[in-house]
Amino acid sequence: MIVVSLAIVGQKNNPLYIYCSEPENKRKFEYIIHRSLDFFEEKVNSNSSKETKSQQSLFLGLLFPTETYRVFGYITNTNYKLICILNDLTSKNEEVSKLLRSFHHLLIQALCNPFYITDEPIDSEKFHNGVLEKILN
Amino acid sequence: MSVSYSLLEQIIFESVHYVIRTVHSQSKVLDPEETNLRVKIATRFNEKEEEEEEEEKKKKEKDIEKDQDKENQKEKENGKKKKQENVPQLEFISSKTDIERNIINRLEIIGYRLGERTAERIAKNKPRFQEEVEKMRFVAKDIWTALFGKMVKNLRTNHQGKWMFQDDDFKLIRNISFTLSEELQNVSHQQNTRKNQQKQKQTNTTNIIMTESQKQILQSYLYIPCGIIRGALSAIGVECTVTVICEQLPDCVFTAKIINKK
Repeated sequence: MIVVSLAIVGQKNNPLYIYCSEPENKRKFEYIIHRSLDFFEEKVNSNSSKETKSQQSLFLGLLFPTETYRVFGYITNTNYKLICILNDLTSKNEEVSKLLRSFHHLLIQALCNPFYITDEPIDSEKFHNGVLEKILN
Repeated sequence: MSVSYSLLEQIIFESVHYVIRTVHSQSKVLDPEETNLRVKIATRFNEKEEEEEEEEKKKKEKDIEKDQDKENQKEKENGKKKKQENVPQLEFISSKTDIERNIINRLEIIGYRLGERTAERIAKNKPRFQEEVEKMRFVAKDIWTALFGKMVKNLRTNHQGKWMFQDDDFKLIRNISFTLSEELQNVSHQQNTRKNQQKQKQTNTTNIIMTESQKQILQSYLYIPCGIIRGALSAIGVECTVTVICEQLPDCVFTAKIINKK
């Protein structure tokens, strides 16, 4: 499972953190992330008649496939969106869901920093190192 | 979790005491003859702090900062030791000056940030909220238990954007005390009525009826919890304004008015 990019988008749809393993394609990933925000809204505002378990979980699953990448989404109760772009075609939903949950944990640690001002990009070194560690495992 | 809210209590009390002392010292810098109402509350301190207050009156503008640092340290020591306490008095301007408004704002923002962050942590393992009711219940149950150890007693709505959280025994103001004479006055009002006697037999809490001036001072301790509620709700996505009414001492009603964006 090769994570090509990870992004965190805030409550007002502002980007807070973007990690790319291939810096040349950074702009491409930014476009993909921007596009995925529409899918987030679609999933969150979907019909309440379909009240299955998927409605209640934070992990939204595969948002949309592009030619070479697969994009997974995760939304927290506080409307922070985590977007994960993978390069391979064989990863299972559960693995990605686990990964995104651990990113959520890291995100909470970074947000609870008393010196962190809400709606600003996340600059924390600890957060960045944590992300790299999770990705390389 | 039990460790976290006792620390929280300490932090909140220290910050509120510190802020009240800044108002006190700044009010002495202003001309005291121009104030409209004077209200005296008693808080309990050590003998050393009594001496320090006398020094403050002498020094005034020059050494305000140094004294405040000392008092902060002494307050922390007091919190840990709990010795026998004497009763000096602080004076308060009740008409809202700019300084007071500034302080109220700051207290509310402290509560706001606290609420946002606790909501983040606690909402981590909860399923997605879909209705407003669920969000309000989240604040009333989960945040209240995490911060104060118990749930809100009563959660009501008027179905037009107003939600009321009623807490019978609000932890942050439960142990607030008055001067001995005032307390006797307040309690003697109570003991005569039958209802209150029955109530006191049922629960261990004695509800104390306060005068208007005491209620105004009590408000200063309630800005932080108002901020906490507002912060938690805004983190979940509900923008609102929060006010609080406290008639009898441990019994508070927090009202959240939702702001509709159209």
